[in-house]
Amino acid sequence: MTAEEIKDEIRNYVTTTIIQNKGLTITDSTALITEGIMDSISTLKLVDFLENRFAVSFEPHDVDRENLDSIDLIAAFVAAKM
Amino acid sequence: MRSKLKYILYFGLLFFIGYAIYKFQIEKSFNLISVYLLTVIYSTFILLFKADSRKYQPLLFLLCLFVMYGYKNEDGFFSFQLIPFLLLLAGFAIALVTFTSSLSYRNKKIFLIVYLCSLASVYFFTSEASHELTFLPFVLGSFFMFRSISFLHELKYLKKPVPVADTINYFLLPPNFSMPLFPIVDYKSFISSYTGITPAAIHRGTLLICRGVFQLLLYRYIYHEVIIPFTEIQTATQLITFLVANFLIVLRVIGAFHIAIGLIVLIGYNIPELFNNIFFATGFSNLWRRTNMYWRNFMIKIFYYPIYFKIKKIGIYTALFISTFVCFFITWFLHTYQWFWLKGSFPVELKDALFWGSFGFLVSFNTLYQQRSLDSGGTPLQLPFPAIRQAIAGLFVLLVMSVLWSIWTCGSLKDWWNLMHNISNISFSGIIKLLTLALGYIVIASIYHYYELHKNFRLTGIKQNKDKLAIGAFVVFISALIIINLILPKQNRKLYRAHIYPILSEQLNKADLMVIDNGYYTNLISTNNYCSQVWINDSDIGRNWTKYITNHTTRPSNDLRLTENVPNAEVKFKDVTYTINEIGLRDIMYPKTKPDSCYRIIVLGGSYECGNGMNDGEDYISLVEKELNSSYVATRNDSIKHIEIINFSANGYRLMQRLYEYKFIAREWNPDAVLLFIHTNYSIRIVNYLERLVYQKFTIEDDYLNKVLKLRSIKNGDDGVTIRDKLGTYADSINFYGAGSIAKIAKQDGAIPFVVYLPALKDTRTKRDDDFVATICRNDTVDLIDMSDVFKGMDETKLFLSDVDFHPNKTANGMIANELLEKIVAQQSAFHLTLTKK
Repeated sequence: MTAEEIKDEIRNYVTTTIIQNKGLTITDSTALITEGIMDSISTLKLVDFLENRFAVSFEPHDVDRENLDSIDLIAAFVAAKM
Repeated sequence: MRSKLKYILYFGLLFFIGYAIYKFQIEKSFNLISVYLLTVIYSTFILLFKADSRKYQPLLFLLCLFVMYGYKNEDGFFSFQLIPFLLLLAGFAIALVTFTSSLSYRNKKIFLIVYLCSLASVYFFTSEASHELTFLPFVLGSFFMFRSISFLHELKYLKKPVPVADTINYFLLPPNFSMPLFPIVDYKSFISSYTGITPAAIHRGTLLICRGVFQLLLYRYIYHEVIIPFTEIQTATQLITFLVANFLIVLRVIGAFHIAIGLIVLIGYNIPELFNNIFFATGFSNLWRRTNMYWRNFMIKIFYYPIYFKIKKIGIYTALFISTFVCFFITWFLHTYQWFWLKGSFPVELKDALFWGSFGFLVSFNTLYQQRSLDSGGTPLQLPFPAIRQAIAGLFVLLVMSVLWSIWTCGSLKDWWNLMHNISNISFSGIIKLLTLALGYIVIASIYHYYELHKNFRLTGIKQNKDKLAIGAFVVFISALIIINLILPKQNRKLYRAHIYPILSEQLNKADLMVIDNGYYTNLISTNNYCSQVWINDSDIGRNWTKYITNHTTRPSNDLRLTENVPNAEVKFKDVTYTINEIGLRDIMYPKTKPDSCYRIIVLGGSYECGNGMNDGEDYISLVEKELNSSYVATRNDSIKHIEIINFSANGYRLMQRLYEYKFIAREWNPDAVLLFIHTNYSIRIVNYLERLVYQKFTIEDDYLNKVLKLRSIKNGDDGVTIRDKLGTYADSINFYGAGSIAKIAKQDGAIPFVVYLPALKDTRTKRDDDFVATICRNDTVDLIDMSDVFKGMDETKLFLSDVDFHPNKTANGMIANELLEKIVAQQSAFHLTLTKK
């Protein structure tokens, strides 16, 4: 799986599951946690999705703004884990 | 040039805020003004010399430590307190050297446990012997109790080394000195937030401090003007107003935390926001997201995620629910842990569990419900007027939280349950009042939510200028308060004393004064609650003489007096010696048999007459005795008399206890005159006495009292509110009986009874108090020594023993002594004495 494919899947998940119909427009660098778009529960649901979809394993301390604040960061983190 | 002008304006504003903090005594008990001014001056210097704030922050910390604990202000003099200063310095140094050393993570963890245990043992082993050492766990605990946990947690996962200065600065946060309850600043966020003292930092810091000061003043308004003592709550309207106001006083924490964050931003660390308009939360999970975000992030990072990852195999929703719920129970435990460091006690109470359990359940349920709705995939129904709907939801959350909060902050579940009974007493006008208040909230909240919903699209003019508008409004508001504070005392002193002075100074409200006065049962706003001003009094052992003395010199008496002084007790506290003689009096020893040459006066009183905070022989009773004998020649029936004034007062004695002290003990000393001291609020104080009395196991050997208890069905286990309700007007009847009995016994024994009316300093003297005293004197034909104007025209705050103990200080004792002496001389014929000046 290429980095771009990973990013596409993540973007698709964030748009359909987290953003839904909230009327927000985001880019790959939008700060999802910092801006309050993702709360702790949607973050954990994202982690659940990432673990199942990309067969990676997360540790509690991985669930952090540093790794998951934007689509760019999430994709890079997943790619590094794979 | 323009930027220089901007700096001047900002620092001008910061000093103006400093003046407001000083003038309005904001967080005075914890000396906020010193820490604030030092921080602002420090920032000014760093900016002027373009220095690296990161390097010099420990210097600011040391200055604050020196001011807070190096010097102690006593009677207007400064005296160096080297030992506390050095002990604290050593405590900080040991922890910081270890944390920044090359020790392994495991060893640092062990060190932290040993360090905290050692500090805790100071509380355990010094609580009775010496309160002077409790500052050690209090200060070091408040600095290290949570930040060390956050630090060690992050240390494990750090990817790159952190500058030592950042770690040291993280622990040495100066505002923590004046805010022992401090937000849990996250280590990782802190070390990445350093920006230095920039214009943006000064701008943001100033705004945060303005917000904090405004919130603390608003808190004071609610605390003094809206909250009423729970014993006065009779209707549903009063109850609901009380519950909501009681929740709103969380503004105290919010305001203090905003000032704390503002000061940290001012010294160069641009840490994130902490609260987000919690009173406008639209759901319970939304409230949890808006409330103390530092705490929430700490919980999520340290507990929530690890718990979730451990149990996620059982299914995502079940795991989410369980993790959230467990986290709330941990929050409960950690609040108790926090109180241990701040108060030295570890209160584990059912009501706390009930509050956190209920709140946890509501948040978990709300969150899962929202997630399930989102997962169902359907498009949310677009209903009209979203801002109004959110405001109505906010009102619901506010009301539910107010009820939950009242459970948490009440003295006991029984008190809370009794209070709730008032809900059935509702009137039409009450409903209209409540609906008006609800409508007011909905209008304000709708405007807020409308702005929130549309902030990306409209109102850009307001958005761009909102900081300037906020600062402008703040300056106008504070200036108006300063002007009112200057003018009103001269124009309308009564209005100023009743409504403005309490808000513009650090005072206890009527409800909290009752907490202090009546002991545990009126403790509706629990002292375990930082929002309550009582907490300051309760925690400030070092300045609360009466609390200390009562603990050390009184004991249960197993008779109708309930307590008595401990014979031969001697307490040395704050350079003052307080001695009880061998028969249990705060006085010198007198022979029981009265010599012929002696005119003997007996004093029946309470803590005022005991002279708490005064050295032996310096209380007003002793001063009057000394002055009468040294400056006057007393004669009775042509023979010269030496005057003895024997003080049979004890801390906490109510009127009935004074009766029994006299009836069973003092009358045997064969007095010529009896001075019964009466202060204020007796009808309330009798309730407290009866509650304690019916709790005792011994037989109540007083026919009148037994009759009243039986008639009003007052029994063992009744709490204060029940007794108050059952007693009704009998409260006054019992007091009249008490005072009347003293007069009757005195007359039977050939002594002359007097009532000395001396309204307590802190109490608001009412017509009811005046009438009460007048009725006693009229009914029992007792002479009155009226001392009600002794403090007239004086600033009461200068007469308190300390800002947490409202008994008369040395000046006030001197004033009372002079006035009492004058009155005795003026009324000498009533004493059947002739007093001639030597």
